[in-house]
Amino acid sequence: MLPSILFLSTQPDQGRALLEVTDSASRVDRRDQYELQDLDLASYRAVIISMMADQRYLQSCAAQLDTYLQHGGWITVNGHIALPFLPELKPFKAIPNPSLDDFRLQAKNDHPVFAGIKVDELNRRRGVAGFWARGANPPPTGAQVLNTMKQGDVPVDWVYRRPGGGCLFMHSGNDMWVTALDDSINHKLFTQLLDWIGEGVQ
Amino acid sequence: MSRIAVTYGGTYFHHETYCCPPFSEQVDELLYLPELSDAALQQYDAIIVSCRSNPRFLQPLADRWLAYLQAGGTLVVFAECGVQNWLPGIEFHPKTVNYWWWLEDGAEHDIQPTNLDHSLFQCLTHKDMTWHYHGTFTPPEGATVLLQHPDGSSVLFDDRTSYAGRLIVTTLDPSFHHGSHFMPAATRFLHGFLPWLRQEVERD
Repeated sequence: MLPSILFLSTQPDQGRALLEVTDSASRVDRRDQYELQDLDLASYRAVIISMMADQRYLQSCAAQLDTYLQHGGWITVNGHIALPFLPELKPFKAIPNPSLDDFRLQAKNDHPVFAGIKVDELNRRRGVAGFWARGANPPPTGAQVLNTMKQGDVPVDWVYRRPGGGCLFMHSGNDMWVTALDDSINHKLFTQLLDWIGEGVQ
Repeated sequence: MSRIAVTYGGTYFHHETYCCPPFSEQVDELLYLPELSDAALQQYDAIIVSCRSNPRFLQPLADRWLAYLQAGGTLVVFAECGVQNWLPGIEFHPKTVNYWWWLEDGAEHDIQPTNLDHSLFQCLTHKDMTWHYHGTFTPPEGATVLLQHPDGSSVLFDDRTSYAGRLIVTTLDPSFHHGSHFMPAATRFLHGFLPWLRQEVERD
């Protein structure tokens, strides 16, 4: 069975070790981001975009990505939106003058990607806050907000379902699979993301 | 009028740092990495290779970076660009990145400033240059070491002897962290470093 999820790598080895340790290589096709324009996205269930992506290049592929969503594709985006490459995306807004408490993460709605994860522990490592997120990419109207900061005000993680079936999963911070100090949490998040995509359950 | 260019990979942190205030006003041109091979490097008095610029676009231009330095240009290279693979005479030493040193009792960063009469220290304090570092270098012979690791290797050096031009290399990553809203020291570093660089190229 061919890999059904496209992972756009931004460096030659990005994601290689992750796929190996999570035993995901059969499910994920890791390709260089600059191959995107030459790929037939219709052959993928989902596309995963890293925080390190060249968003200027993604903008040049905006029509391709929009069409892919329009035809029911799923796209997962990590990072801060600086150059929107889909009509639903808006530039990142950092929390102004955040307190430590503002960085505390709250689970607003349950989601399979975060099942069994203590969400409120994701944004801290050894007492230092901000590893998961420092603000949010504003969600479009109709998005389901999953996790928030600043006592519920800042929508860090959200899911938006286009009429017609396309799905956009947003994480407004560091790549979901690198943020926890405990790698087992990082691997669990990544694996659960793949499982959720694979099940196709919205 | 001097011209300072910076490499730009389209990442959010490059964009936030070099396309948004306050630092957008301190660079004159962006060099988009996938189009770097088309750039006429010689027209710039200084080029900053921004942190985490993808080496796949830098390495093929090794001869041109050398020519730029030999022709008198000022080249600044921030962390995670693989500079040891596209410029001669630089040996890289990987180190485990210690993000937590300041949490230890009586913590003092292991990197110490040296050659304190260097003009950069008129614009930056030790604190402005302190967060963490991504490895160290053994610099070319004759380079001035400005931040030194206990083992004698360097986190930041200024080489004015190897070329007619000037090479400044560091394993600090200010644009990644300023652009990520995630390290106030990185922002302070850029507030001091960029005007200093402008002043240096205009004086030379």
